[in-house]
Amino acid sequence: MKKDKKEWAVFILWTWVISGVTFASLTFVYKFFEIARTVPMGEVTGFAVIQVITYLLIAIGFFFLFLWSFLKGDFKDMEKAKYRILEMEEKMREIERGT
Amino acid sequence: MNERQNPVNYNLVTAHIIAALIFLIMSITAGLLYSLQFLNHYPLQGIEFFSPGRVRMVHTNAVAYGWLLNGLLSGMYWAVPRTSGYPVLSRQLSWLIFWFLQILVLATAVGILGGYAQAIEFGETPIFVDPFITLGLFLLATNFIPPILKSSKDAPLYVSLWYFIGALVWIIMVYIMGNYIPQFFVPGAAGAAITGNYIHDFVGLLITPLGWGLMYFFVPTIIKKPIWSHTLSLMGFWGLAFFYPMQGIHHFMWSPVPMHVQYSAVVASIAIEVVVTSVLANFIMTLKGSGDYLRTNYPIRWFYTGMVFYWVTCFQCAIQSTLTAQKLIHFTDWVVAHAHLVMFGVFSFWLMGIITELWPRLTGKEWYSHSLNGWAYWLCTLGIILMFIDLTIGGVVQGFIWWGLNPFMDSIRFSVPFWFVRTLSGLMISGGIISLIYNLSMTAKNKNLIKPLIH
Repeated sequence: MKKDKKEWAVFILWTWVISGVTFASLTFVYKFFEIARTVPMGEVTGFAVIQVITYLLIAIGFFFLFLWSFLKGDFKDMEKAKYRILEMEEKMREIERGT
Repeated sequence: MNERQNPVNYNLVTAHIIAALIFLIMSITAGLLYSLQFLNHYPLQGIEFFSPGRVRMVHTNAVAYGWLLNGLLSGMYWAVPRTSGYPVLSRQLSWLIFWFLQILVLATAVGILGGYAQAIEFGETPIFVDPFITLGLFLLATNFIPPILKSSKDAPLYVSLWYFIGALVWIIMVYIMGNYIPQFFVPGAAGAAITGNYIHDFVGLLITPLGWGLMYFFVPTIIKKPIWSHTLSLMGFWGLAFFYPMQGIHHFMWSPVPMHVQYSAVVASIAIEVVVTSVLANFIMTLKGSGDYLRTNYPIRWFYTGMVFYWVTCFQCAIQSTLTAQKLIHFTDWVVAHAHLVMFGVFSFWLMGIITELWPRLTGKEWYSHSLNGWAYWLCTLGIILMFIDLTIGGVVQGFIWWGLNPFMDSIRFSVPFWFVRTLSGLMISGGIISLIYNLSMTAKNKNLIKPLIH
């Protein structure tokens, strides 16, 4: 059965997203592995340890934020927020017109 | 009206805009002065306090902390309460941060001119100023994060708020890492690698997320249409969060930093282009069917021009961070072209769009001149395009001259015409900025009223 235009768009989008995330994840793992390997090298220990610790502090914190957001159900209807923002802006403009 | 109904502090937004514009004038003056040094016509020759090297640092620091940070904060004080539905933690704290920031930027300028600059690009803030900036960054997070957290209990967070949380948390870590560790704990090549990360992360983890967060707010609210895909926008944010922080090593290609680390920075720099392209595609699709805004609405025109420049800079970043390209362009004016396109062509354009959107609403006055808005846009756009092309070509010329092991003075002689055009393009940009500022000031004095937001 032929796919209609919307199905193709969704298919292309998902292919794009999955390949992007896969590619980025692989580079991340590669990068992390390479940098971690630097630690035992005496002359650059300071460089590797500080960079990795700083990165981990940032990344782990945001990983837990991501998890918290997921667990509280933010990803059930991911498009909801974009409509809410316009409704809130309209209310703000009404308030401003009334002042 | 209480704050729960109207949580925006309009006077604070206006104050940050005015402060931003004052530092923008300081910055372009310093930039123009410095460009004259390259033409051997520096007017303050022999005065140590105004020596060109110091004036260059005032140019970059006034842009980063005075213009961009003030401008972005004005946008945040407008957008955060409107997207979260709650005011920032404290009005008093907001004003304290405002005055703190202005004093610190001025102290930085005086410190740099006095010869106390720290030897870290974008971190030249003297070491005695650094603890106060760190404190200011903590205060900033304390002021902005509470309304965002309150909002998260009401509904899923909008992408702008995610970007703001990211920037507020990241910059504290990045600032401490970049300003203290190389200075006191890790000297030499290891310290240089950290400063490379700092330079890149200062832009990528403070200015970039604040800028994109504001774009995700202003574009939909101006064209009254939601962003094309909120899902895609969140992927852009999480992509930035996890893949961006450590690619700054690409500033030190062919350096004593271990080669495999340099290779990994190259790969990461290219990978981030995927994320950037998805963000831009989202905004282009949002404008689909509303393209007329580009013709009729100046803020939208500033925003989208900046976005196109953003994609160009990121695409360029992916190419120029390769070892092959670095052989040619390292230390040349190519890099200067790239930096100007990012800081002026992208983020300054976005700020000018935000100011153009907010100013009539804040002052309650009609525009003094729509034509001056047009002059500002076209002079800035043509100026930055001219500067970018000129310095990029100049950089390639310099690179080939050095590559050919010709005498260094040959590269200087060949560069002078490019530097002349750079000054010319700087004058065009200055003309555009002056047009905008003159229009803003005349608009504030305009007698044709619309309903003001400031009381």
